[in-house]
Parts: sequence; structure tokens; C-alpha cells
Amino acid sequence: MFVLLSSLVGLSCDSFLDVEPVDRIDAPSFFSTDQELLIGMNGVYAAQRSIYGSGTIYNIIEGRSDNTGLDHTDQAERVEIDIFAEVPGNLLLDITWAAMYNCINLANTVIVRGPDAEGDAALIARIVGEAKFVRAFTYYHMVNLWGGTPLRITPTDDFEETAVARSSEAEVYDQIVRDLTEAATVLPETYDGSSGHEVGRATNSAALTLLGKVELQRGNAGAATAALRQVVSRHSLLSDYGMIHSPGNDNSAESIFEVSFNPANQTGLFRQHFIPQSVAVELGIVAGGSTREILFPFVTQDLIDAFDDPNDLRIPYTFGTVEGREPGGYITKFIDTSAESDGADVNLVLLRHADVLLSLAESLGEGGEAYALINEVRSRAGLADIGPDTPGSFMEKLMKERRLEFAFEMHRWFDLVRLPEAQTIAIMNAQLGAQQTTFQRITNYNGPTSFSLAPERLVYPIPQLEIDISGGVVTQNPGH
Amino acid sequence: MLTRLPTLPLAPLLAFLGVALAQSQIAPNAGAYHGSWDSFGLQQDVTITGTVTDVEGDPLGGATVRVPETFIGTATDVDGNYELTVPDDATILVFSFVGFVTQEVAIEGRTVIDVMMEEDMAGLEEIIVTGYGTQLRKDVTGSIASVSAADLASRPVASVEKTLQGLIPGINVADRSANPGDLAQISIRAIGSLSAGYEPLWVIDGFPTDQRNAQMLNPADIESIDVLKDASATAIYGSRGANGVIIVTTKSGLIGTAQINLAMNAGVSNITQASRFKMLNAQEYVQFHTEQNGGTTPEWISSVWDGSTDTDWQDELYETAPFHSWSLSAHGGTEKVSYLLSSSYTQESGVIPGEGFNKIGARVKLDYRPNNRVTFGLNVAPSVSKITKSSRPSEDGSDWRSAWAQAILLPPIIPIFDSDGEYAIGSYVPGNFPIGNPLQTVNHFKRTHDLFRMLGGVSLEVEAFPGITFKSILSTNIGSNKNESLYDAPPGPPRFSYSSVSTLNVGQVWQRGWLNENTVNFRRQFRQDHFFDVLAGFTLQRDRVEFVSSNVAGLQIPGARILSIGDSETLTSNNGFGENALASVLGRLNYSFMDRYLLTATVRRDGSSRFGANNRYQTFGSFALGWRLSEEDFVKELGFVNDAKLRVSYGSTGSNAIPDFIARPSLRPVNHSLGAVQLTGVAIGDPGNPGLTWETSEQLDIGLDLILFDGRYSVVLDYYNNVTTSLLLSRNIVASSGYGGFLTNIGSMRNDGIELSASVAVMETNDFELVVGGNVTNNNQEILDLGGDEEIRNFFGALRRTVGGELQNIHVVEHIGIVREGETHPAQPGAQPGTMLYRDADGDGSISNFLGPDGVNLEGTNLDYIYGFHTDVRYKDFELSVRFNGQAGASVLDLYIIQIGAPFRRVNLSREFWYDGRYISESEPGNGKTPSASGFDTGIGVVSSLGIQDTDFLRLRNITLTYNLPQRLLQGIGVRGARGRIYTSMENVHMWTDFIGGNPAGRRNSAGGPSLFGGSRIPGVADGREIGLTSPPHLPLPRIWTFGIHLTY
Repeated sequence: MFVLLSSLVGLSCDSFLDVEPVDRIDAPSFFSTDQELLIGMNGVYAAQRSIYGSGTIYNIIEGRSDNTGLDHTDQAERVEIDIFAEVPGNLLLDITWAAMYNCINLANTVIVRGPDAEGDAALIARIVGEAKFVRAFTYYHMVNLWGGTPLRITPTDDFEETAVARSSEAEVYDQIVRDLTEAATVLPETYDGSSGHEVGRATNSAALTLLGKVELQRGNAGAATAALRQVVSRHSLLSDYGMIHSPGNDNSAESIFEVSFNPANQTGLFRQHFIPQSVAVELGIVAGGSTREILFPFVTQDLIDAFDDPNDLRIPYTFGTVEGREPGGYITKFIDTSAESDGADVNLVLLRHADVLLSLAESLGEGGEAYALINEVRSRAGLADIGPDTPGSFMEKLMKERRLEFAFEMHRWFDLVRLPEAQTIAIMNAQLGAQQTTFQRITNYNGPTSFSLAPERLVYPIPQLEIDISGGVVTQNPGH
Repeated sequence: MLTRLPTLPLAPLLAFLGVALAQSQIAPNAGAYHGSWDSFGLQQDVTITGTVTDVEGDPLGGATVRVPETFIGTATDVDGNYELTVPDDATILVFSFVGFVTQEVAIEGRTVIDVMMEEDMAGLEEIIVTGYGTQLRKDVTGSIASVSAADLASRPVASVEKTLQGLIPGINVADRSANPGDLAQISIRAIGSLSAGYEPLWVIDGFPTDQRNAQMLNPADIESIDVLKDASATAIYGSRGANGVIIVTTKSGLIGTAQINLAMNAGVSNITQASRFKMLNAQEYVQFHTEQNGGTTPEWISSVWDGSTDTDWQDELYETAPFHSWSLSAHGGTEKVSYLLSSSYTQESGVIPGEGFNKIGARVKLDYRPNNRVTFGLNVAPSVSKITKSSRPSEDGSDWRSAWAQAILLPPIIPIFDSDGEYAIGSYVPGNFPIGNPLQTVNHFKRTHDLFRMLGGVSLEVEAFPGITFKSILSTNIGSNKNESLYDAPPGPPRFSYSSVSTLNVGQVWQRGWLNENTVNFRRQFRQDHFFDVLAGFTLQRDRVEFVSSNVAGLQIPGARILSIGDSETLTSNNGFGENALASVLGRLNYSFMDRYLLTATVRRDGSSRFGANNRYQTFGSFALGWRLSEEDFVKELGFVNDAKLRVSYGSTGSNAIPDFIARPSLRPVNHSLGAVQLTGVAIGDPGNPGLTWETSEQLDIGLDLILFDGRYSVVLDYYNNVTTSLLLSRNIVASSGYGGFLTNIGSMRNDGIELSASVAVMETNDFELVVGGNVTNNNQEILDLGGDEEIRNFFGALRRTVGGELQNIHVVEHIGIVREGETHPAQPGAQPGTMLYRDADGDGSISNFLGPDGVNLEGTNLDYIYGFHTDVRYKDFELSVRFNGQAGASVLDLYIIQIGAPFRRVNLSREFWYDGRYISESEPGNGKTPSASGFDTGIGVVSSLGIQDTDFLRLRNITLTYNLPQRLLQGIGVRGARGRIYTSMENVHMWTDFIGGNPAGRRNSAGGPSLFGGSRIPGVADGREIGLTSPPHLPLPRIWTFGIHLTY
């Protein structure tokens, strides 16, 4: 015993207290090689998956639009977002804001630490390009949800002064365009699938497609056309619309960029509560469905009516309806019948060839080429061609096609805000009024049925926590 | 200032030297050793014999007889006889025995000295374990409360922690869960930390460890429990002392005795009607929803209710649960060896089918004395136990999908089985949650936790010179948990809560730690009046935890617990590791002058691996003074004061209760897939903080101990003021940083209060004794500083820490009543009669939700009062002990009752909360608080003060009736010298409370958003503090009826 004691005491106390962790990764020394950078980038994709795999993102982006609705007995924070009555403390906004910046911070780390890492210079440049793409994508969604946000492009390392003031919308867009332009120069067109070059990483096409959409969103049709022209011939439409979001059909010929889910990661866009229990049993959905009388969310009558051609091949892969139930529309996209609970093996395709076609049509403006692009999409849906003589303005026809083609795929709200403000407001006022009238008829709802949204409501309030903690450095959007 | 610990090779060297010295001085005549501190000269020897008895003449075996300041001493045999050879210059013999007043007797040339020892009525000679040593009660300057073996015996409970309930002021032992095997939540002098652990340190036979090890103890082995509360007492534990220390000491064999103890208990527990959740029956449920529907029975009710079904789900679920336990132990000793050998077994079933706890434990404790200066010790206590549960995994079992939560949520209008013989579930009521059937749940969720613990070590104690003792301890703490969680899917298609996919989790946790302590203790009296007791030492401790855990789904064989038969695509595994090291030097001086003026000074310097490289070492210390007024003539003249002592202490202690490695910036591994390819990635983990350091608690204690009228009255009064600074706190940083928070040392908070305990022997005759006692603690809590922030929000802002407020304030919109007909409320235009009325806090003419300007901090979560009282009556051979305890002043926001079990759902509702006092009409306006069936407001109301509940309660905790078997009865059946008692006991007899639903001490164990709310937690906003919220409902504590017998031979 004393021998043991003496040997113990012989150690210096400092070394006795040097206990090294073996189950965690030391942050300061990581990102120093190309392989570590690659693992960091995998983490960026995982962080992006956390944004789009969360149950809240659906309410924030898609639920806001006229495609789905919630009834007044649903959770207040969700209902507020649906009817444009959210407060700056809305929890769902906090969650989405935090998840997006978490992703941006990790992407920033890869981007800033990358140039100092050792290893294959071309690989490192590519990884940094991937991170720039994800950062740009995230800022693209943020700037459309909140307007200009704090523009953070370096990793957070000072924890005393953490607040950063908001940048203008134009500054954020400039950064997005810069990131995408730089990413496009280093990202390959395809990956060979070998280790470190897995299919599904951001490609040159992804950067250019997003660049085109971003330019379109900020009103630079010419720049959009230039970017989209480069990718329009690289991909093709799948012959079967239903295959786009079918389980296991990852990174198809139509897909340009997608958020990757698989059952082991226990996330996915489809939720049990999207579908009524009776239908779930009928379809053999392992996870089961919702037992609520009114689904949350339900598919609005407005969207159901928009599918005015019963032969539209997209209908069965978009929504279904239950007889005698009001509102009876439910979402059928993203279903993985074998998924347990919310884990689904269906990726969320954020950029695909149909979007390139319709975006290019939009940036080109009315004309033969534009109609040809639209008709390519319509033809896959089994619909007849349209042209200048088809009723409605070009933009109405184009927007309707986008709405039907990309229903529930996180595009509709951004399409709506791209329209002239008065139009967006008119569309939303009408849809909300109709929705509330339905509730008055079928439930004991006593609230308003006519809405007049203020234009300020088209962006969300900056989360109150961000403003409070920043001590006023971060400011609120007007009207909130 | 030292920035490093000095290395101290001195102490073991001294210990080694001590052994050498001790061995060189062993005298040939056994039992008595020559050689005093003053001289080693040749002396003439005198042999003295005699008998030691108590005042009634019964012999005292094991009493110590010693010549002061020498090694010369012996112990009496079973008949109280002794023989001692002393040098002829010895003038005094000292007789001592635990529980008796120590006597000094002048030899005056006698060779036969018989001594009659008086019992220590006032407890002044009681030995108090102070950490790394002992003191007599009369010399203690710190605030230390003790529980004796006799106190433990008066309330038969399976677990040590429960024995502290209501017995000692300043300690709160909250029954967080009613399930067998779950641990109570303990705090001493309230929670003094915002985010670090607040549990006290447990020290079991010298080993600093945790509550789970204490749970493994056999209560029958325990000699004493000492609760150290102030800095004077706890500073010796330095960086782990700030939350108080509970020292458990097991029995040791006394020289010259041999005793065998057998205890057997058996009983049943059940949940009484009175303590159940009072839910609506079918009639009331239908009535309520009819009112809500404007007077006509809603169609969804008529579509499902047959008009007669009225299921009382709790009745169907709860069962009467048996338990039994036995304990067999032997302890005793000779001059050379003393021993404790013990074994025990406990088996408890829970009131929910499938819940249970069993435990088998043993202890071997041996002390070998080759001579009376050297003691080798061995103390090993292995135990195995098993906790079984029939619910899904969650830390405290309070899951929404647990059987008891289902039993109160399920509407009474559906039957147990549907017409097809299938278990009915919640969504049989249209629009309701798919709540599982509790009777099915308990069949399909099976969890087991197999625990192994072994605390054991060896020690060597050498009295090298009279009064100088070296002691070295080397101990290990080994444990493992095997956790298994099986969801056995029922056959057939998935039914909501019951997926058709079976899942299995198997996990294994290993912990091992070691401790080395080396101390030297010097005790000596100089010139009659000066008594010194000096301790110095150093310790090293290292603890390591590792775990590995695997999950798989899709098991095809029902009931199989084999990972490999699951679907290999779903197999996931995880492992983890934690380790920390602590190196310390410590010292303590106790000095008493004229047995009247006492001084204690303590210092400990700790180095911990948990903290940042810049702040690893810190020194803690305390200083205390005591004045034994009762030794002053002016008090002695009063005649009725046996003891009066004034104590003042001040010092600092620390808390290192944070996770290992959190000071280091880290990344977490995450999985991702691209296509079908599985990838490894990293995610942002802890930001780390190399400057992280201890929370430090500055504690002041002023105390008064009084023992009056021959020990019939005793009072202990303490005032304490604890200020914790450099609080470990995850500071709010903007979410756009990508982090949820930044752990740092900021801010301070204070707990101050008064503790009073008193006991009165109302009557004491040969046949009849009546003792009444009680204690109360009043605690005030205030956050002083949050590092510049005014408040910190938790749980999405419904809980707030505010400067000037208590640890946690509930932040809601204030509900001030019910709207009545004809009233107009400018802020709530058009409000219907029976709906909720709110206070327009900012007066802007409209009501916001709780996050807006009308949200206000209302109630706090501090327990203002905790108290307990007890009565012990003895009449001849019968004893009756009655114990109460209670608490007051803390509130919780009850998210179960206001969000899940709320009227806009179709779950069943609390009758007391939603039904009895509701507004029905102007002629039946109810209690003015409860809204009408349709009047609950789901927008603002769900986070309003309507959901705040007081947790005050007074509980009749225990009644025990004991019959002490008369000696002649035992002799009559041939057992000579045996003592025995039989008893019956009832635990949790009754509770008086306004709290609606279950257990007012139950808490959410984490402030994350429950899944049914659809929310997930925002990083850094939720912190896991177990106060302020309750949800889901907690099972009421069962009533436990015990019958037992205890024999001692």
C-alpha cells in the first residue's frame, strides 16, 4: 500500500489533474486537415437537415402560404403564423432562427478554417465551395423570411460581444451572390460516388440554379437567365412525377440539390399528423396517422380547386381528400409507408430540373421559349400545352404551374413574396377569409373572417430573444 | 499565492514511520503498553482491577479504561470487568463509553476501582462525525445535525434518505417519484446554484460518493448520519461542500461484545382513494361537454358513449403491492478484532403493475489491532439491485405515455376493451389524443436497471505517539448499471401509441473510482485548560464513467432481448466517457480553552480537472468560535442549564458539480447520409471556457444550542446566510451566434434563513414517557446579480430568473377572475360571461400573451418553510411514534392541468380544478376563478396564473407502534439475553394540501418541451432545473403498511 502511495504522490499534481477526454472532439484543433474539413462539411449538411427536418420549418415556410391551413384550436404559435398574427416571441421563429444560424456558424467555420488546412488543395477548395453553397441557401431563405438579418460570415469565437447588427436586404443578397459565384467556380458538375465524393454534395449546377433563383427573387431577370441557361440542359424531368419524392429514390436525374433524410436519422418532412388515421391504415403506413377531426395542417380548398384538371397526374402525389370531412384535404407527398414514427427515407428535393425550367421561363418572360419550358413541365403532368391564348396573364399561368408543381416543397411562400406586394396580400386575404368562414360553419369559432394584412406582415418579426439579448443592437422589423 | 498544490510526500512517510515506531514500542505484557509522551523511563507497575456498571448496576461491556496521555488502556469484558497494569506514577484513570458521561477517577493508591457510569442524558458526549475525524457534541462549533440508529429504528423505511425526512431542520427530502427504487431529491439549506448540481455530498464511511450508493445501504447497518450544514462543518470538503454534506457511518463492533440482529419486515402499499387524482366520471364528463357545446350533448359523445360506461381508469390500473425485507447482521469484537457482518434483502413491488425494486446487499467490516496502537481496517459493501419499470424510458418516469398519465387522461366514457376485445384507446373519443390504454401499456413496455455497487477499502491507523494518529485510506468505488428497455409490439396493425415495430435498447454503464486519503491527527490537552485537536492531510480522488448503448428496432420474436434479431439497418450504437480527478490538501484546528471557549479553523485547497486550465486550484476555508455559556458560573448558578453554547462561523466552500470536460470547446459527432451512404460529421458542441471556475459559497452561521432541565428540553437555533458567487451559468447569447449559451461564472445569489429545532420530554416515568419534538426552517432566497443581465428566461419565457427575485419566478398573464354578465372590460371587449378575465398589466387597453407586456412575474419557487414534528410515547413495553412533515411557500406552473388536461381537449379533466367551481350561469357563478366549460381561453389562458398551484402540504408521514418483547418472554422461549420488538407501521398516512393532483413534490425533471406541445427546446434556454414546472402529473405517494419484527441476541 505504501509503495502505491509513494508512487502516486510522486506524480506532480498538475499531471494528475490532466484528464483527457476521449469521447469528444476538440474544437480548436479540428479542421486542420482536408479529411477533418470533410467531416466538418458532413456536419454542415447534417445541420441543414436539422433545419428542414424540424416540425417547425413546415409552419414557417409552407404553412405561411395559401397551400395549407390550421384551425383555431391548434397550438397558438402555429395558428398565429398561419393567420399572420405572430408575435416577436413566437417560439417557432426562435427555433428556426437558431437552427439556421447554427448551420451558418458551422459553414463559416469550414469556410474560414479551410484555407489553412493541410491536404489536397483542390479538395479543400471544393469543400469550402460546398459550405458557401449551404450558407448561401440558408441566407436565401432567411432574407425572404425576415428581410436583412445579421450577416455573419465568420465563426463565433468571442462570447463577450456576440451580437451583430442586421445588414440590409441588399447586403445579404450581395453576400449570397458572392458565395454562389465563388462556389460555382470550384464545385464539380458531378461526383463519382467514391469516399469523400459522395453523390448528393453540392454541385456546380446547384450553385448556378440557386444563383438563378436568387437573382430572379431580387428582380435581376437578366442575371437569372444567364445562370439558369448554364444548367438547363444538364438535367431531365423524371417521366413519373410520383418518383420525385418516392422512398429511396435519392438524387435522381431530375434532382439538383436535396436535403438527405434516412430512417436512421429519424427525421423527414412527412409527419404522422399530415394524414388521417383511416387513410394511414388503408395505405398501410406503419407509423399511423392523425386522429384529429381537422388535420394539422390541412390542404386548403383553394389549392384543391387550383388543380382544376382532374387528369393532372400530380394530384395523387400531392393531396388526397376524405369524403364527408371538412376540410378534408391531406398531403400525400413525402409518404414513406414503411417509416416508423417520423423517420422517413424520402429526401426533400430543394432544387430540381422542373424548377430550372419554370424559373428560366419566368426570367425570360412571356414568349415562345417560355411557354415551351412551361409545357415541358405540363406535359409530364399529363396536361395540354398552354400558350399566349390561354386565359390569364403570363405570370398568373406561370405562378399557378409553379404552385401545382411544387406544392408543399417550400417554394410557394417565396413565389408569393416575389409577386407585387398588393397581389400577395390580396391572395392571402382571400384564402384566410375563406378558411375562417369554413371554421365558422363547422366549429364554434367566433373570430374574424375578413383579413387585411399590412404589408409589414410579409416578413416575420425578428425573434424577440435575439433583440433582447443583443441589448438593442439587433432591431425589429417595422410593424411588429 | 500558490498556483499549484505542493506535493506532499510527508504524510505517508510519517505514517510509515508511525508503524515502525509503534512496533518498536510494543511491550510484552499484552493489553498494556508503556511509554508515555514525557518519559520512557523505568517504572514500577501496579495492577488495578474493577467493574464498570451503569447506575442501575448492570455491567457495561466494552467501556474503555485509560491512563491519560499514554497508550496504557484496556476495555471491559462482557461482565464489565477490567484489569489494567499502570505505572506507579499514574494518578488518574479515565473511564469512557459511548452514550455515557466520561469520568476521571483519581487512583489514590487503590488496586480495585469500581465505577458507576451515568448515562449522558444531554447527549454532550455523543460522538459527531465531522469529516476526516470525530468530535464530541459539546465541542462542535459548526451546524451539524445527527440522526442516531435509534431514530432510524423508529421508522422502518427501505432507504436511508427517507429517514432524514422531517427530522432535521434545513434539509428537504422531496419524494419526486412514487416508484420503487427512484431517488428522492435532497437539498440542504435550499438550492444555492442556478445551474450546477445542488445535491449534497454523501460521504459513506469516509468515501465521498453519491446518493445512489447511499440507497444501497442497509439501514440496519447504520450507526449514525451526520448532516453538515454550515461552512465550519463543510469547509473540510472544500470544493464539494457548498451544498452540504451527509456523512453516513456504519456500525462497528465494540470490544467485548457480540450481537446478532435479525430484522424482518413485510407489508403492502397502495394508493388510497383520498390521494388519487379526482377526475370526472362519465356523467360529469358528458355534462361538462354538453355545457361547452351550448347545452346539447355533442355528437362526438353520442357517437361513442353507450350511456352507461363509466371507467375509473385509476381504479383499473393501481394494484396493492406487497413488499418484504430481511436483514441479518452480527457485530462485536475482542481486543484484537472487531467486526460487522451484515446481509440484507429487500423486495418491493410498485402500485403500477410491472414496477418494482429489489436489492441484495452485504457488508464486511473488520478492524484488526495487532496491538492497541495499530489498527488495520477493511470495509467492503457489495450490493446488487434491480429496478423494473413498465413505462417508456425517462429520467424520472414521468412520461406522458406512462401508464398512470394515461389513466388520468383517458376519458371515462370509453370501456377498457372495445367490442372486438381490443384495448380501447383515447382516440376512440373523436378528436382526442391517441392516448394508450394503461392496462396495455404495462404489458408492452419493460425496462430493467440492474445495478451493482461496491464501495470498499482498506485503512491503516497508527497512534505513533500518545495523541498523534496517522491514518491512510485506500478505497475504491466500483459500479455498473445495465439498462434494458424493451418495447414489445402487440400483434396486428399499429395502433397509435403502439407501433407495430418492437424496439430494444441495451446499455451498460461502468463506473470506477479510487480515493487515497492520508491524514495525521494530533490531540492533546496541555496544562488542564488547553485542548488541541489538529488535523492535516492530503487526498487524491479519481472517478471514471464509461457507457455503451445500442438500439435496434424490428425485433421479430416477441419478448426477446437480443440485439442481433432486430433489423440491422436500424441498429445504432453509442458510447461515452467521463473522468475527473481531484487533488487536495486539508487542515483543521480545533482548540478549546477551559472547555468553555472553542475555536475551529479549517482550510482545504482543491485542484480539479473539471475546470479551465487557468483556474484549476482554489482554497476554501472557515473559521468558527464557540462559547459554552453553561460552563460560566453565572449560568451554572441558574441550576437548570445543562448545556448552552453559542456558535459563530464564517467561511467559504465550493461546488464543482458540473459535467466533466465542459470547460473545453468541443464538437459533437453526428451522423448524416448522402443517398444511401452513411457519413460521419461534426456539430457545434460546447463553446467551452478555459476561464471556468468554481462556484463559491460564502456562509455565515450563528447558532445557539440549549439543553435544559436534565436534558428534558433541548433547543437548537441557527441563523444562516449563504451567498453563492461566481455562479456557473449558461449566459444568454444571441441565437445568431450559432450557440445556445455560454457557460461562465457570473452572478450571485443568497439564501438566508432561520432553523429551529426543539424537543421536550413532557413526561418521563418508569412506565410512561412522552417526548414531543419538531423543527422548522424559514428560507429566503434572492438572486443578487446575473452578470449584468436583468433576467434569464427559461422554458420559453414562462420561467424567469430575475435580479431581486427567487431562483425561479413564474412569468404569466395574471388571471383575476371570471367575466360576469353586464360587465364591460375595456381590455377585453365583447368577452362572454364565464370567460377568463386578465389584468391589463401595462394598461394599454388590450391583453397580450405572457411574452408580451401583460406577462408578469408572479409566484416564486422557493420553499419558504419546511417543517417536521414528531411525538414519541412509551407506556411500559409499548411505544408509539408519530411523525409529520410539510412545506409551504413554493409554487409551480402546472402545465398538465392547464395545457394537457385542459377543457379544450377531450381528455378527462380534474374535477377539483375544472368542474366543481366552474361558472355555469349568473345564478351559479361558481368560485369566481374557474371559467365556464367553454370559457377557457386557449390563446392567453394556457400560460396564465390560472395554472399556478401552491405546493404547500402537511403530511402525516408515519405512525409506528412498537411492542418491546419483555425479557422474561424471550427467556421463556429459551433465548437468554435476547431483546426483541415487534412493530407495525403506516407510511404516508394522510396529506393535507390544496394542491390538486398527485404529488406536490413532483417536478418536471427537465424544462424541455414535452412532445405533445410540438415544441422542442431552444438550446440554452432550458436548463434542467427541477423546479417551477410540474408536468405531467405525478403519481401520488402510496400508503405503505408494514409489519416487522426485530430480534437482537
